[in-house]
Amino acid sequence: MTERSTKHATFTIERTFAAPPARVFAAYADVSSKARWFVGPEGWEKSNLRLDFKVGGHESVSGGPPGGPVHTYNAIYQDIVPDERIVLTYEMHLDKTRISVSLGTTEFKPAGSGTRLVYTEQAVFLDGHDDAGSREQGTGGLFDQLARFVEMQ
Amino acid sequence: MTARLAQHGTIRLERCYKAAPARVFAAWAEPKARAQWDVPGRWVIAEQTFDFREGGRELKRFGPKDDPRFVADTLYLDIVPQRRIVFSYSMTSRGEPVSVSLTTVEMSPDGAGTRLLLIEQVVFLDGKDNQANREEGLASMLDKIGESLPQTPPSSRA
Repeated sequence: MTERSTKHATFTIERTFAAPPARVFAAYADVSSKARWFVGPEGWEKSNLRLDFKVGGHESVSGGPPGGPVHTYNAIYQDIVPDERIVLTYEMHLDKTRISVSLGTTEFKPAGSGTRLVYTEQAVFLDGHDDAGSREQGTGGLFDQLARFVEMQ
Repeated sequence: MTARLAQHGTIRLERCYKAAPARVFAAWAEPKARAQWDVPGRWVIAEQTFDFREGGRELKRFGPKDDPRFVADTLYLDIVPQRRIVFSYSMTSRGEPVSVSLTTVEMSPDGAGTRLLLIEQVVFLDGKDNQANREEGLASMLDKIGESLPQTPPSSRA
């Protein structure tokens, strides 16, 4: 029998982008834009991003190292304020095992001619899988990719 | 224009019940059992749907008897019978966002009874609610679960 456990954690990542809030928000709202930056590390095999960007809408994408476990992300949008805020919940699976469930809040704030983005993740890690440190690191990598995407437009 | 605000918090509540984990789990899983406690204090449930399974979604409209203005939109994310329930819910008041929560309920045997731990990770939106108020509401519901359960521990029912 699987040993059952939960570990709760919260982390916050703040970034400033040289692009206005409307452009950073659009990188989340538009599926072809989001597919450009919301992807795993270099070298991972990837699936197509599916995105239904509205309250109650679903999003999913999966990927992983060649021959390694498949990481699957499934999200549901809980609250959307255009150009200002996105609240979603998402679960991560490693192959068939659910390893975490998270509540993610992304706030977009004007900062001069750019945007200050504040992402807060409140997560519960299940049955000893993953941990807040590696999740925070992985999420930080996504924001690096987001910065490259919005700043080159 | 609404001033946008997101305030994050974590609420942790613990209760010990004189009923076995199967009974406590049933208080969540069974519609009739849940209807007995699923609203804080003297508030009322005006409408409620049930769909207790992983991926299941429930809607509940509730609030003070003369103004049940709140809607909770719940999604069950992880269910381990008699052990664990993880769900999210967004709350709105007349369509305006109030909060979004990720709630973990864990049940473990405690002698012949059950120890329940509830951890709610929540973001309050636009100043429409706060941690103290939410904690009071959740505590009230956990107390009502205790009142709704049979008080005889299973070990003494031969």
